[in-house]
Amino acid sequence: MSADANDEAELVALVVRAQRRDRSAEAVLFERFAGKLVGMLERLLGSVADAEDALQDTFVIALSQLGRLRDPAAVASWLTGIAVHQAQRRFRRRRLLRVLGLDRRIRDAGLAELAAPTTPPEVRETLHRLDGLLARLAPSLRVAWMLRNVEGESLTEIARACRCSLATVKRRIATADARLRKQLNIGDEP
Amino acid sequence: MTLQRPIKNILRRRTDQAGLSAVWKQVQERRHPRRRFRGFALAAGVSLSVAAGLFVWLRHAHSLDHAGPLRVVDGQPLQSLEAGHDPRTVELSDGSQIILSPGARLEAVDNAARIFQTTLVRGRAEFEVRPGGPREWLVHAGPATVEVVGTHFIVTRESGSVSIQVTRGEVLVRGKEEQGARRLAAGESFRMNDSSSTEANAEATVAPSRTGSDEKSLGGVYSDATVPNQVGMKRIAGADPHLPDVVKRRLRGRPDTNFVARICIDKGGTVVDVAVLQGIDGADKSLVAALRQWRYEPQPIPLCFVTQLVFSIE
Repeated sequence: MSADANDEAELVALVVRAQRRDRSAEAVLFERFAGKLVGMLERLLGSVADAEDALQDTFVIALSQLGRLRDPAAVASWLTGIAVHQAQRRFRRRRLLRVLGLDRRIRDAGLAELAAPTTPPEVRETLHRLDGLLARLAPSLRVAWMLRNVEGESLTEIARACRCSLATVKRRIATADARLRKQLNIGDEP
Repeated sequence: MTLQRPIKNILRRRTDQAGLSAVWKQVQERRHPRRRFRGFALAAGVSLSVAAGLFVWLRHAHSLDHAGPLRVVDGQPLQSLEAGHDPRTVELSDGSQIILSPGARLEAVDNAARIFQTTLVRGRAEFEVRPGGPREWLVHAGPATVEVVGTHFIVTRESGSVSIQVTRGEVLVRGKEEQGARRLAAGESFRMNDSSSTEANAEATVAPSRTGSDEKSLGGVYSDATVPNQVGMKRIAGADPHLPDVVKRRLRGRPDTNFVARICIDKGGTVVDVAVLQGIDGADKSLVAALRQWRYEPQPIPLCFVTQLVFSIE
């Protein structure tokens, strides 16, 4: 049995234990996925506080609905879907708060802010511009584009996470791409 | 400058392990709230039980302390109280106090664990009744009965009248007629005629005597008999009230119809308020308007009293 197969078997066993309300299994599940999810949420939301808040909601929902997960091996994409949904909820809330003039959010995790210390200044400048352009996109376009270009997720995974069809994902990414590429140089898809 | 995908490869995460631990703690607290609330529920339950037990114990202790009739604070039974030439202050076992003016006499007519009824035979008595006490207090003075809520008030029975002055709290004053009931608040006073104000006839009923003889001369509809007999207030000006024709037609041939109102006057005797206690359909408005035009003899203090008009249509 390969290492990947061993990992998957171990993950399935872990999820099954968590489904049986094993608290230690739940904690291990959190340790295993929280880092990846909070990183994605930071990049999507541009705010550490919002990301931690969304991560908390994600795991509260996930652990309470874990029994409904039919394929334990798909727990990673299932968690990603919940997290993306939480991010989209926050985008909608922000839009309402902005209309009411009550948006007091601190943007401390934009792509430029998250850049590693060794990042060249010109890349940092590009990330800064990208932040500004992404902020002007509709949330559905922004999320699809970021999951594809920032997170490197597959189209199928994005469709699952966004709870929409593959065609819709492609259209959203293409639309966002068209608007962004005019002003930025972003490497082509591999 | 070209960004290589996925862009996250050149980014770092800002939430550290401590942040993740804090999030996990919050997740656990939200996932298992019962553990947290169980403590609260247990503490609240214990507190409630203790409070309920204390309440029952206090009520029991209270009822034991005050079981039986009201007594003078030194333990003597409370039957009749009389003041000689000097005022007499009587402290009672429930914390209440009665101050009798010189010559005043008070008799307890019903003294039990739940009720204390006393009659002011004569003179002036000042009552300081403890609020929330175990007993219902009723003070009779000739035609007046004072229901006490827990207050300070003075009852004076002399010179053919009974007056009640409330200085704190409120009381309910009833005449012999039910419609004579009136709630007196702090600062208000009330006076009634007392044709039975002799010691031997203290409980005699003061029945309002209807004159009825001048009904026709007053337009055939009006007899104001109760005012002078029950309250003792004399009208000095104001037209007689009349029923509207449509009401007269309706009442023709029927027994006497009563209209009862509470009238409040200022010191000059001017009517300042009229409240209908027992009305006549279709006539209240015109009768109140007529009563508002009346004037009474000037009084030392503003007063409220009950007036009964009796209409008989021939």
